[in-house]
Amino acid sequence: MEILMFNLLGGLSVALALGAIISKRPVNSAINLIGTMFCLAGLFAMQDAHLIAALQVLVYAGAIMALFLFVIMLLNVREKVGAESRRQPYWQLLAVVSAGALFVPLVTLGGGKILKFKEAASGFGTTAAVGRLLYTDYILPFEIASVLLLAALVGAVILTKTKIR
Amino acid sequence: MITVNHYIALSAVLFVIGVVGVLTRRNIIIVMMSIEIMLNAANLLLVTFARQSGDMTGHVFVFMVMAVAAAEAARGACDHPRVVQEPRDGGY
Amino acid sequence: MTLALVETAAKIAFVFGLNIGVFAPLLGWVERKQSAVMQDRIGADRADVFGFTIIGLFHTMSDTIKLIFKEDFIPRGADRIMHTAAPALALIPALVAFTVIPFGGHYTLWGHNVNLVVADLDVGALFVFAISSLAAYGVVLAGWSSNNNWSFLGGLRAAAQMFSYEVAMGLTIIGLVMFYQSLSLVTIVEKQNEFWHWGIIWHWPAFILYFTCAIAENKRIPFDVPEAESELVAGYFTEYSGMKFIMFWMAEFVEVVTISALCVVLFFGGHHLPFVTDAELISGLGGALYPNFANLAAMGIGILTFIVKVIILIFIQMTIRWTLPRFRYDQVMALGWKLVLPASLIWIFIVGVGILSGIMPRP
Repeated sequence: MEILMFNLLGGLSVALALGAIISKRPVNSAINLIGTMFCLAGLFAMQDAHLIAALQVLVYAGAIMALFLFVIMLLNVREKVGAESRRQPYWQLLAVVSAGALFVPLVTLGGGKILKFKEAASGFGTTAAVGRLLYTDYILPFEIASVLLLAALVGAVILTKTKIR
Repeated sequence: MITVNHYIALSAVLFVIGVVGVLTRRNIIIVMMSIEIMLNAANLLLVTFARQSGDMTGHVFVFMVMAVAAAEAARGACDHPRVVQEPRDGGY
Repeated sequence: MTLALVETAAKIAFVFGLNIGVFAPLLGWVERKQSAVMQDRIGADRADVFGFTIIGLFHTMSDTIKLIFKEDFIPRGADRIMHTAAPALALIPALVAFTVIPFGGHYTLWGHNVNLVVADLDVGALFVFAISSLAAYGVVLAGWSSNNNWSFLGGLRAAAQMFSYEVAMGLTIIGLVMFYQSLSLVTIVEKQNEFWHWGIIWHWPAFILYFTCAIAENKRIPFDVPEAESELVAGYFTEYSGMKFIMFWMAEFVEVVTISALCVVLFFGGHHLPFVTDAELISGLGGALYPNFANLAAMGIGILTFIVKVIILIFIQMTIRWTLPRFRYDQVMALGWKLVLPASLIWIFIVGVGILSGIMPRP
């Protein structure tokens, strides 16, 4: 059951991510990527990260991708087919080869050992547990993240404002 | 039986897809979306290792990555000059 | 195992049957008939079978039959795939959000424990917001894929409006989550066992803010600028006909029901009768009936109470819809960002102070 779900969600997420970087039109890319985010949310939920799975749908699929889609639609960018949309073929080949070279050390991250999952403790990954960690041990990073978001907010307002009184 | 290695492999594949996307596409929005794919691959790995070690610090990290990604997307939305010009009439 | 599967299947069938089979078609009739009553008209009464009109209920059937047989039209230059997928993308989130809403309590029937919610998630309230934030995609893609400027403008307006109110909507219930110390909707309902613990008692400002945001999120009058007839023909669904049109229509009505159900769960004690706790109800019924049947009767009363509360809130929403005029677009955005958002932040602060100082005793 678990392996079936993993194959389904993992395969789908890879296929949709490929679709996102291959498709010609940005709108199709965005839709594919939303699907990828969903599959990853499912994979997070499979690993008892319930809060993170909900946040993945809420923040990534619901907010960030919606923002991308909104910008694409507002600009109505229709990427021109052909050389303009992609780099030269030799460049593409080089990119794929170097990315493939990156793939090898990443896959062997486990060091050739088979790492098995332990049984999760009760309450692992629930809102209460992660929230407690966020507000005690990691309160400083949490506050810095909130300041970062505030800075992004103010920056967005300044950038879009045509004249500032 | 699902092991950590399965998730490492999946995460590596997704990360490499993101890298290829950044290197081959020229459209700025698609490049940014490829970066999101890479961030998500890293998130998957963080969640996996958090689950394996039974330590929720990984979840906290994912939370921070999401906050940074949201800030980045908000800034990215303002990048294009056309977006800057639109809201003058209060229309949309 | 089999029993659990049967139970889950029954609950899913109940939720979907209630939404698609009962509420969605009936609300179409309610909307016409209630407006007629409010505006001193006779209203829908023409469709009849052998002379019987049963106060216009046949209009629901005739409408459905008409729309099923209409031509399914896709305009030239439209994106065929997106144009077809958009109505489904609008309808599915509205239906899925209902899965975490408890429509009853815990009951023991012949040794089997029944919990009347399809999925009891730890992150229940967050799940509802996550799913309802996806409803925007259907609308935005509908507007974009139609290759029509009215649709496009409607889609953009809808996107901006829905994203803005989503932020405020999430903040309005944080005070409530602090009060009940849980995101799980089942736990929140359990803690509202006594009447004086209902959310509305302490959190009525949050209720007003949430209700406003929810109606704006659902794009109904007075917030229906994305489909404003006098400005944008029909907004994002200008180019839709037949079954696809019905799906947008149904998504709106199902969302009306979901909003009401969520309000009932968060603020009006869910399935609880006022002044009677579940245990008292079962033991009271146990005097006259066998324990199993007492549980069954309590279950029926619980579901009925829930549905009656939902219907009352739907009635309030319909009354608002036929009472208020449409806002201007800048007024909608100003209300969301300059009034509701700061007000909900202030309310979070007040609840925090209230809980810490002991004025608001947590249940």
